[in-house]
Parts: sequence; C-alpha cells; structure tokens
Amino acid sequence: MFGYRLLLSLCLFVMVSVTAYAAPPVQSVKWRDMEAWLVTDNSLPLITMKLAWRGGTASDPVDKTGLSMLMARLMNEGAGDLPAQAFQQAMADNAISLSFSASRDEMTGTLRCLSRYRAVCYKLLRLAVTTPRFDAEAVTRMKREQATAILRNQQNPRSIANQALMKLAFDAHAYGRVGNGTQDSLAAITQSDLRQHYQAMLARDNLHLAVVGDIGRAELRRVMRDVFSTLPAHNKMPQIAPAKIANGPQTRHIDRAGPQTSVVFAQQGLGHHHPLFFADFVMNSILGGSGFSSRLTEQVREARGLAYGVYSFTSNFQKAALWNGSVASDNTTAQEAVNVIRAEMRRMADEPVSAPRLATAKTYLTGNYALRFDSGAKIAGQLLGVQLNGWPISYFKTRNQNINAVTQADVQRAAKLLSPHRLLVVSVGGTSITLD
Amino acid sequence: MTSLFKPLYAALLCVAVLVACGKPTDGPKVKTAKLENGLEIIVIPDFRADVVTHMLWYRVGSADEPKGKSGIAHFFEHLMFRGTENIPPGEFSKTVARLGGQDNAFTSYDYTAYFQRIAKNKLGKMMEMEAERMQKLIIQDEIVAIERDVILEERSSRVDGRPASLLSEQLRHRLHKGTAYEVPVIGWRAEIEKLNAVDATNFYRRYYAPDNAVLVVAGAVTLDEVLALAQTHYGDLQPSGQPRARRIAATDLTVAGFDQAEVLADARVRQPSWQRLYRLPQYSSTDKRQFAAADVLAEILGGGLTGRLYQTLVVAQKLAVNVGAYSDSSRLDNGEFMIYAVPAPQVEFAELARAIDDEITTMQTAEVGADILRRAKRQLVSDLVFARDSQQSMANIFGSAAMIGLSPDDVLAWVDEIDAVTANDVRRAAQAFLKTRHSVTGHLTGEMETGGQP
Repeated sequence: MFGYRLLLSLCLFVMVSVTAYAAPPVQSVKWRDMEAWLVTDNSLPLITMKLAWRGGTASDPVDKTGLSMLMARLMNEGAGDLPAQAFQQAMADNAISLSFSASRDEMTGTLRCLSRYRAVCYKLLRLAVTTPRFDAEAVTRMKREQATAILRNQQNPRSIANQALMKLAFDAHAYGRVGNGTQDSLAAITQSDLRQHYQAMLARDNLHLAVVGDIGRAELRRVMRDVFSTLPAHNKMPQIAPAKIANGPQTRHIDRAGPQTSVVFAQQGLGHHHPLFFADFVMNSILGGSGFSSRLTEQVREARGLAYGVYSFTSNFQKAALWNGSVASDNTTAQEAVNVIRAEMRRMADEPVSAPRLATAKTYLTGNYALRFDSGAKIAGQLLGVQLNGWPISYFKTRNQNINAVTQADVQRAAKLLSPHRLLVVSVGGTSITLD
Repeated sequence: MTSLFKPLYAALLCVAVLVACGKPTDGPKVKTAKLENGLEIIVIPDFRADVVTHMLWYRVGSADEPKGKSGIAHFFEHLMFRGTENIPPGEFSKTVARLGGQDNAFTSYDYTAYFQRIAKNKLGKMMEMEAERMQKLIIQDEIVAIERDVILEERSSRVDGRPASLLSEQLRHRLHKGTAYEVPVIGWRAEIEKLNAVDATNFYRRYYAPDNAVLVVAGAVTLDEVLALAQTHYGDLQPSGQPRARRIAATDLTVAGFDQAEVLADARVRQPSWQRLYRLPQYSSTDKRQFAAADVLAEILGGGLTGRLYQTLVVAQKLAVNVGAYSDSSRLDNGEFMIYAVPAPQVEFAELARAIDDEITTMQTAEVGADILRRAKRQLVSDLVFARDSQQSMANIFGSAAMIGLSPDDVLAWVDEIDAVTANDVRRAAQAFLKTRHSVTGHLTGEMETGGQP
C-alpha cells in the first residue's frame, strides 16, 4: 500500500525549490595516481558513489552529436559476460542502482547500494566501467529512447527556449548544441563510435570520485584498485575550445499556442575562478537566486502577480560562463515581466545594496549550506561538484568565510557587470519580447 | 511572540502516547505524542547533520473544497505566506532565509503541508511562526487579487501550456467522476478566477486548527526536545472541535465510457504517449494484504527495466520505447493504478494496448515465478532503507500517511506486509484491480485522431 517512493507528483508546491552549511569532514583518499574524496558515515547501511569523467556532450563529433548521452545510457546496459537483461537483473536482485548521464563537460555515474550487498555492488561497477558491451540490441533500444527524449524536449516550452538560447549564446561552438543530438546525428552513431568514445574518455587522469556512507579509507582504496586501475592512465578526449558568448542585445521568438510566454535570458557570466566570483554569487542571490527572498520574486511575483516562478542563476562550464534567468508570464504581461526584471538589474547596478540586506543574504547563504549535506546522496553530489569546479578540498571550510568577506562595494562591482541592455533573450509562446 | 526554550517535562504536559515503534533492524525509530489541544506529533530522529525538517500537515486538501470553489485549498496555501498579525506579507520566507533555512508548502487531494528545513537551533522560531499563521493570518483583498494572478500563471505553466498535463487532468476527471477527486488539485481555471477573500477566510476558519493538524519533525532532535518546544509554541492554540467531513468514495468502480479512449490531439505534441488509470477501491486496513499485493504487482509489471512490461513491449516486441506502472493506494478515497507507455515509431495505440492487455491477462491467470516475486519485494523494501538517507523523505512519508489515518506503526508494518505477499496474492490483485471497466485510457498525439480503442 505504502509507496516509500512517495508520489508527490500530484502535489503542488508554492514554488519550485530554492538553491540550497557546516560540511562534514571530507578526506582525500589516494591510490597510486587516483584520488577520491570520502565522507564516512556508518549510521545507515548505505554507500553512495559519484564518479565523473571529463569529456561530455561538447566533445561529441559534430556529425555524431548525442554520442556521449547515448554512451551514458548504455553504461548499465550490459557489461562483461552479462548482457543487458542479465546486468539489469543482477542490479535488481541486489537492490543496486547504477546509472550514468552526460552533461556538456562530463559523464557522471551514480552508484547506490546497501552495504550488505557491497561485494556484488563493486563487481557490477567494475564490469560497467571496464567492460561495457554496447551490444547491438541495447544500442538500438537506447537510440529509440534518446530519440523520444529529443522529441519530448521539443514539446516543453522551457526546454525549447533553453535550446534556442544556448544556440544564440554559443552559435557554432559545441556548447550551443543539443546534448541528445538530432534524429539524424543519433541515427549515424555506430557501435564502433561508442567503443572509440568509451576508450578515449574513460581513463584515470580525468576521473573524479566522490564516496559517502558505510565505507572507510581502506575499503575505498581497494575499490579504486579493483574498479579503476585497469583504465588507461591518460584520456584521449579533444580539448574544448574557449567559447565566446554572443553580443546582445539579441532576441529570438518561437511562436507556440497557449496562454503563456516562457522567457529565458542570458549574458556573459564570471566563472568559478573570477576574483569577483563570491561577490557575484551574493549579488545574484539578492537579485534572483534565493527564491522567495529575491528581488525578482518580490517585484515580479509578490508585488505584481506577473509570474509563478522567476529566477536568475549562473551556468558555469569548463570553457564558458553564463549568467541567466527565466520567467513565464501570460502573453499579455510577459513584456512587462521582462521590463521589471531589467529594471531590477539596473537597480542592482545603480544602488549600493544596504548593509542589512547584504547581511541577510550572507546569513541565508552561509546558514543554508548545511542543508546541502543532510543526506548521503546530497553529500556525494557536493563532493563531486567541488572537484569538477576545480576547487580544493579546503573549499568546504573556506566557502562561508569567502561569502562573509564580500563587501557592499564588491556586490556593486559584480552588479555593474550585468548588462540589461545587452541581454540575449528567447521567448516561446504568444508574445515576442523587445528590448528598448 | 517568544521563542525562549522552556524546559518543560513532556509527560506532565502531554497526553503521553509515546510509541516506540522502531523495527528491530533497519527501520527508523519513530516517536509519537499528542498535545492536549489535539495536535499530533511525529518525530523521526536523524542525527547525521545538525539540521531539522519541520512540517505542519493539515487534514484538508482539494478534495475537501466546497462545490464551485475548486482550487481554494491550494490558493489558501499560497496566502499562508502573505502576512499575519506579526509577520508582514512576504516576511515569513524572508525570515526563514535570514536564519539560513528554506521553506515551502504543498497541497494534494487529502492534505496541505508547510515545511521549513533549517539548523536545529532555529526549530523553536519555526514553530513560533508556524503557530502564528495557523490562527493569526490576515487576508487582504489586494493581496488575494495578486496571488490569484500568480496561481493562474502557475496553472498556465503546469497545465494549460502542457498537453500531457491537460490530458492527465481530463483522465482523472473521468476516472473519479462523481467523487471529490474528479476536480484537479490546482482547480478549474474558471473557478480559480472567482476565488476571493471571503472564500479564503471561510476555508481558514473551518480547517486551520491544532486538532486538524499533525506536526512532523525529522532530524537532529529527540521527542522530548520537540515536545517541549511544541508545548511552548503550539500548546495554547485553540482546537476547533470540527474534524473534516467524511467524504464518500466510489464503491462501484465502473468508469463511464471506459471503452472509449480520451484523445488529446494537439499540434504542440511531438512525442505520442499512452496511459491508463484504474480506479482502486478505497484503502481499508482490513484488507492491507491486497493493497500490498498491488504494490508488488506494480513492481513486477512496471518496475524499471526488469519489469515484465518493459521486457515484453520494449525488449521483445519492440512496440514501445518506454513503459512503466505504479500503484497509489495511499489516499483517503479511491486510489489509482497507472500504466503508461511511449509507443515505438509507427506503432498504433490499439496495438500497444492489446500487448499491454495481454500482459495483464497473463498476470491474472498465471502465477509469477519465485525469483520474480523475490526481486520485486526486495526492490520495494530496499526503497525504505534508501528513503532513510533523506530526512525530508522520511518526514514526507510519515506525514502523508498520518493524513489518511495511518500511524507510523502502520507505515513500518508495510515491510512485513510486502514480505507476506504470495504469487497467488499478486494474481488475485491483478484480477481485482486491473479490470478494464474500472479504467480510463488516454492517447496523447500530435495528429488528429477520432476516438479509438483504449
């Protein structure tokens, strides 16, 4: 009767979640040339691992876009002497969950198992990572699944808008492509393409590992040895060229039936290693990154009722950084919503943030940090994220200090990098947006 | 308003219904209690991080709305953020954020829940604010008008701009015709447009009281700590003495027009899909075994890539690209069993439906093998252990169960109920629950189609 897989699908949230302190002690565990970050916690009989290899959809050949995504879908569809069905059955029989996904800059795997089944869990992980089969049957089946994913993304207004925005921002650069590829590029992918891509990507020098739960250092070292040591030392992925973001103002409109226009916008962002990174982070939290507390929510939603959700956020890739945002508003009010957002961007740049408002933003951001570490799954995600951002293991301790060090002047400096007159804007719905 | 911690002793203050209902091995140690004013308390300790999830669940959902006022439960949930006697509009969430927390709320058919996730030492403050808005909300016309616009935008985003959601709305309308679940949780657009401050005030006075609520706290706290804080902040609230009215669930499960598919053809659709919903009998504690068998049945049929439907329709017959099933009987009235499929290119809905019906017939006539049964049960039971990784999931599980009258013990007993399910139980559940006349079928397509076989 009782679904522990809670069905909240019928529930309506007031608002889709806000961004999310005190991180648990993170250890660095090394085995030969590999490193993993570990948080040991024996209070539950669970182990969660996140693993990622640099080289994602942006490294797909231009006529074989969708390759990394397809490879990710196939990584748990048969390995070693276990064809797809046998592999899936072995996972199900031992309550193991292992899945992979690809984003622009990496392929990520997530493994979750009960510690009582650890032996078979590590064995399946080893098989998947070292000897994936890419059998013809599974390739055909996963191509079909991916083809439907391409279609589904073409019927959701937000994903239609986002795809167009990335194209507008990155033009011909690989970051502008659709990760799932096109029906044609997907059809062109062969088993041999998949094997070559696998051999080029899965190596030790581009591997990132995050491990949490009922596992200690010695056991983790054994896993590193047994699972990953037979991978090649060096990956052979192509370098992604630095991406130049298109100059605004530019607008694109895609007509679509319905009461509402979905609007997404972007401009050049700062990136993880910019001196104003933390100032920008705090600035964006005040402007549109903190859900109910943000100025955009205050002005667009609470004061005017123009939208249910309005957000701004940063998207950082290996070779590019964007500042972006989104809103969906009735066709009759979408332009007004965008005008209010741009006015708030200008106010952010023109008026220094007050000391109390800055203090509030800091207590929110620093206090909230602990909420990112209240489950094994979340901790593993944090450990991997910090590694992929190229930050040191000390980040977990220094992050809140860095936020607290941000001054009013820093926030304004970051805000002056916003350019409401030079936005890239894509609208999907009944109203095309103009930037005056 | 005070947030001072008063060290009061639980046993002296409360109707002490302390239940230590932990499973001996893997289960969480859940504790319960009740204040004199009727507020029930569930505490799920988890000391891994110094944070708590504080939730207040009200026994009122969209299925309790007055006729013609659809959407008021959800609308009202929004208004709970828009100002009380001591908290100005918009300040509730800002205060939570300033203290380093997050908050939100959600509404379903049978309940409305409000929650904050925050550092443990802020729990008292959260209770103080939650208690304030239980009885000191200010409902102003001007704010009601703005929030109504926000909700209409929400409806546009979630439903009106998405053909798949429009179809699901119509399917549930047909499936639950004649009962409270025929109305979507968010409400019908035309009725939302007319909701006003009077409707909201009536709704508030009727349902928002401690004896109609359950407090759930998961995280780094003990029952004694929670009880002391709860007594301080919630203890003086006045009970209403008016539990919600009993609703009438459908006993004749036949759905009018079950043999005619609901077709939604919309040019915005790029990927066709098929779904069928079966109306389940109302959950009853005397027939737990049958509902546990329904969970196992759903897992065997639709549980991931090893499920029968996937193996047959996707792998063997190549009629579908994806397929799945789930059973949701955790409702006050009639539950649902759902099967969905994404047809392979060029495959007609009728052909897909025939193949699915064949699988159902097999489940109704033949018993599944021991290994298949064991795998399904293990998957279901291990989900509980995985759920324990998230304090928020645990709070949701025990809170939503309480809303339909299930105690933490009932929830934990589910594991044994699943364990007891036999192959014969699964077959009987398939016979009892998967009757075509208890169902509606939906076709989502981008092309014009005139009716059709379900």
